[in-house]
Amino acid sequence: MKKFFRLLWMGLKWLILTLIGVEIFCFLLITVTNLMIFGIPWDGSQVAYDAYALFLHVEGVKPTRHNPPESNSLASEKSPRRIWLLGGSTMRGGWVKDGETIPSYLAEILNRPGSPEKVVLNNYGENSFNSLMETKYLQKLLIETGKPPDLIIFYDGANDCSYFNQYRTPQAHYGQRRLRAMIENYRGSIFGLLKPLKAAVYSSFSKEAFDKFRQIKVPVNPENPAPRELAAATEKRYEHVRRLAGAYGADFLLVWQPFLWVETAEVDPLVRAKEKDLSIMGSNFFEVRRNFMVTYNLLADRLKDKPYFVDLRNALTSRTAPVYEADGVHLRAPGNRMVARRLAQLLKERGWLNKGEGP
Amino acid sequence: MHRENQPRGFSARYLGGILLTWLKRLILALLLLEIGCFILITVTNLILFGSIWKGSQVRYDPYAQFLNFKGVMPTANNPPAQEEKKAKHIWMLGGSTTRCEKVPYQQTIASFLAQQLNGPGERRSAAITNYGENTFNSVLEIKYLQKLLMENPQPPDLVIFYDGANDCIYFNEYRNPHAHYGYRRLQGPVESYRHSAFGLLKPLVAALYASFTLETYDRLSQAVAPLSRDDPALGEMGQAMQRRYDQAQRLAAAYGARFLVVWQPLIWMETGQVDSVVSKQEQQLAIMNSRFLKFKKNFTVVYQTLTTDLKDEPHFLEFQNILCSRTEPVYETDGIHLNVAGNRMVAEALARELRKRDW
Repeated sequence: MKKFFRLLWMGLKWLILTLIGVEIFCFLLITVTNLMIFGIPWDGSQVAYDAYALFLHVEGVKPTRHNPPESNSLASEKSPRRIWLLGGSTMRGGWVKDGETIPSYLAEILNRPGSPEKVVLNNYGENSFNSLMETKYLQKLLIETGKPPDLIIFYDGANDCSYFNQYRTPQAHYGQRRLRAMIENYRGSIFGLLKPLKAAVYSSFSKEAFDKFRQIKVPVNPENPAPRELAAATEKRYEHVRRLAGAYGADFLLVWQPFLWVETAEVDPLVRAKEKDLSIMGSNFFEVRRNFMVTYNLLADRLKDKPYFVDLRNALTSRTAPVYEADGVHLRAPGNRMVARRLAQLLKERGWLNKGEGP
Repeated sequence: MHRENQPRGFSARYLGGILLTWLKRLILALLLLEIGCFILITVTNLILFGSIWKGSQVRYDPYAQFLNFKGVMPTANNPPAQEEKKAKHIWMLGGSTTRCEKVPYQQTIASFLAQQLNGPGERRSAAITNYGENTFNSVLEIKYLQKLLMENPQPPDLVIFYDGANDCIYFNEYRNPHAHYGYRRLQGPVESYRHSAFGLLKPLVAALYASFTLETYDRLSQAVAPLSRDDPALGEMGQAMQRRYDQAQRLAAAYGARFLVVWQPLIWMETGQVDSVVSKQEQQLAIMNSRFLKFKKNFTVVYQTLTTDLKDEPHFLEFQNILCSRTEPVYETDGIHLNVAGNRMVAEALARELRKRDW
């Protein structure tokens, strides 16, 4: 009996040591990966909790250049039209200057001298936001604003694919597992009474490593129920955003963002050759790219007939120099300028630009 | 020989030993503190709620934050499923006073309202859904409403928010116009990740924020600081509630529904005359004890300020004195939750009001 208990104790000790070892290994793996990809040991930005949107950047809204001055706008007879742009880090443009974001370039085009009306643009891009988080943020913005917009633009695609591929659930978003840990740690079972322990397990690096592994290595099959549920849930979400915008008298536009490996049109071979050297185009990331493409195409296919949907996947294929960052998703300043030009053209084609002028 | 001559205080081994001993003692003290708090909280829960847990078992929901694990509370007296399409649909949102988990589902406000509206002589049947969720206030309800409208194929004809108690409780606890149940629990892990190097150890952070020690601290420091009517946060709260309800009204309208806020009755907020025998019996309720004087005083300040701020809104329905005509006690010991007779009275008053508004 004594020997049995000694063996049991030894086994337990080794099990705990192994689990701690796995956790430390995963911690190092994730921290070093973050350091290599983002240059810092953390993934994501410093954020503040928000009861509606869950979290928002501590530095607040990214400024937009070339907007008409508010004081002048108030003095003028006709108040300016307003555009709110929501999206993830590609919209926020945290790594480029304030004047080099998509909203700043768009404001420059729309407010150039001689423009019949002035337009104020707000860059509500938030790092790591996907359409789910943007919908929550939009609800907050509309509750709290005194000046509702005339047009709401969602610039989506990359983060919707990224978080679905990580969590394989239609309501996935950044940090989902950590928040679940805080909410569900308590009442699941008697084990839930030890809630600090359960919260720690849920938030562990081992679980995060598993999610990341799934994103990188486990193929997404569009015939499986989860991707189909994602497509249905995403469609419902955008339909709701259209209605929500309409409730405040605003139009809604969904822009399906471009990224390097989903482009289907011809690109200058010289540029293409240079882009082959980007780290994301390496064979290590083959499955990541494939999974992204499957989810991206699935959603684009589901949404393509919606009147508010615009597919910009090939908006950058006329480039004469590389415009993508090493991840093939984020854009350099010239890329942002190209997207802004395409957006301005789109607003003109859809008659939105002169809508406020009347017949 | 050499060792004997060396002063003990400078021996690295000696210093290391002392450090290790104190570290061990610190860890042991923290563990003991946590175990003490665990026992305190668990026993308090057992005494207060008859269960070792506080609150319901919930699951994480990205839109509403959390939802009851058991799903939506059923409603009795609704028309049969085949007739439901022709019926008018009412969604009732609120906290535990709407969900009414402590009584059989046939005796909730929603079930009694369905009985009233589906009685003989009614022109059209009404299908009522009880979307009450324990601890929900208007912040969480507006988020839940967005989710429900997004995901439900059958939109409602009328949306009712049954509010007051939880809005006052969580404002008093956090002194923040966007407060809700578990605010700090979510705020901590969300904000701490990028705040310092310690935040990087997220399993430890999660364990800390889920600890019983922190819960004990929160409970002890809850809402004892007096609240002034001039408190700026209170002014913000009134505006935030107005804007929140304005959005609920717009959202409902976007789906073709009307919106109503019912301002719920609470025993110590009543200003009407109550039968003296009943009143005498109710003086025995735990909440009427002088120990809760400060809590009730703070609560009254918030309730009255919000009532003044909201009373002119067309969707606002004040039920403060709706139960004053009672001939028997209708409140539970907390003076907030209602017994079956109370639920029936609220439902009857609500049915009268809906008929009056020609709904």
